[in-house]
Amino acid sequence: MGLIADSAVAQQIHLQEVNRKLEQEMAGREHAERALKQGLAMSEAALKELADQKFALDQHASVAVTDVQGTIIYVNDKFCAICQYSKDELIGQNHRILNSGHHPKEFFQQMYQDLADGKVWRGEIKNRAKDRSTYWVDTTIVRTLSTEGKPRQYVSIRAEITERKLVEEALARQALELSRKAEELERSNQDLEQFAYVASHDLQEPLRMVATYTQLLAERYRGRLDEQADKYIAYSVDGAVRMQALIQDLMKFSQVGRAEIESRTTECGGVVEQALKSLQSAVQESGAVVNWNGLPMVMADPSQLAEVFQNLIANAIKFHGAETPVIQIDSEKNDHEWVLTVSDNGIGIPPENWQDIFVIFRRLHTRTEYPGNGIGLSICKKIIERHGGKIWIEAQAKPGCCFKFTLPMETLCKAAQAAQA
Amino acid sequence: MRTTEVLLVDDNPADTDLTSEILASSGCPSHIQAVTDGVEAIAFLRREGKYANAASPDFVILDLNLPRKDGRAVLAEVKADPVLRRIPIAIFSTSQAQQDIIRSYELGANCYVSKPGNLQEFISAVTSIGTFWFSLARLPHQEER
Repeated sequence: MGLIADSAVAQQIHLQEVNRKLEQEMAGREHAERALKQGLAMSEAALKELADQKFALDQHASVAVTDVQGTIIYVNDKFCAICQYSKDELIGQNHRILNSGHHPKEFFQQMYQDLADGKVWRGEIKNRAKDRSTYWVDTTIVRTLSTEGKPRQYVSIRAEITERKLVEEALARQALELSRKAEELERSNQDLEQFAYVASHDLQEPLRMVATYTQLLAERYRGRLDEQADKYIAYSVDGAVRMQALIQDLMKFSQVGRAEIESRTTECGGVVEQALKSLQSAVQESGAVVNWNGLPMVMADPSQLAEVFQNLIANAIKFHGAETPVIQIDSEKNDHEWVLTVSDNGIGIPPENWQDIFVIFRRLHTRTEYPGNGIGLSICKKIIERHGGKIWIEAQAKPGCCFKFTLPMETLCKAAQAAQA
Repeated sequence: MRTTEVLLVDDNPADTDLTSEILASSGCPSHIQAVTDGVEAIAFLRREGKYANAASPDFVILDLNLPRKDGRAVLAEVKADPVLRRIPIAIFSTSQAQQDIIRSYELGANCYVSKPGNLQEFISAVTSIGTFWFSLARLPHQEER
């Protein structure tokens, strides 16, 4: 009985042992199954993530895969859309099918060399589409390896940049055009300087001869020929002298256009005083009254600005009306500039002449009515425009003339100068 | 007052005549010799060729734009010569260009006078040159060299 009992106990223990092992095994299997499921879920998630990224990539870029010989084995839709070939037309073809001939042979040799060296190749390529049009792609190519470590494929990802390249090319063309224009301008400036010299010397020389010797003729032979002869000599002298004055004025005008502008903070009141000093005798003779107060500080070349005031005031005195000339100089502040006004009570200018009065040698009166060559306002215009301002005539309620011109504000000029420096 | 020997270099015979005439009547004794281009001027100053017996000038009135050798070259050559450089040179040219004025003084011109375009001013310019250089200023005369 005892033996049986022993054996039953042993059996039971054994069974319990087996049971425990089974349970253990079950637990292990369940664990493995859970791990497997987990792993599977993770792979699925990873695959999904990859698929998502591929989707995004396909939306953005054209993708192609070639073997190491360059034979196309995969293209995405974007690739087909850009090059206009279908997948069927591309797969199995060499990538050279898209070559535009734009790049030199060395360009691609270097590319394949880089790839063979295991480098990532990045560059811009001009390709040719099926309809023979060309397009630019910003391209990244990587070489992939087989599990044995052998070169397997080239994967290329491209984004089309044709538009950007067109803009770049247009910009480059414009830059070229601009530099050509600048050269032309430089040349024409040199021509102008040459012209100015010719005008100052080569033209003046014979003219001086005519003027001097007709004057000598007039002086030595006056009354020794007849009255007609004296008159003709006087005409010749007058013509030569007038032409000398015109050439002098032309020279002056061209110098204003070429002279350096030495802009600095300039007090307009002082400049007006300086201009009046040069006009002292004209002011005294005419009894002209010139009024101004509180004129601003501006950024200008003081001697050139004085020339502007001098011309405008001189005109106001010269073209006075029946009354004593009264000249009023005012200023007002605009958004970003000063507007200066020089107005008078003179004979005024008809509105139809307000534009062309600034043209060189334009005169509205005969020389016997008013002397002068018509240079003053054209010089004013040139000076003001070279300072970045404008000059014009404005209607005013009272009779007379009202000139306005703008000058940049001091602070603005300083900022611009600082920016330049 | 001793007579000043003047060399007038100008290709314009009218100006040469007028200038000589004005100087002669200005009351400053001067003897004027004229040549019409730069090569002649240098030959004259160096007493070469036909100028071997020419009187050495005390003063030169020089136009700038001259045929063959122009006035600037003459000026440069004279002012680089250790002996001739002491002869004062007045530039008398139609040019009023700053570049000509600056260049002339850089090359050692002793004064620059623009030929005025009007007879009266021309006369007074030449007369002033005469009064200043031939009577007021002391020149290194030939005997004193």
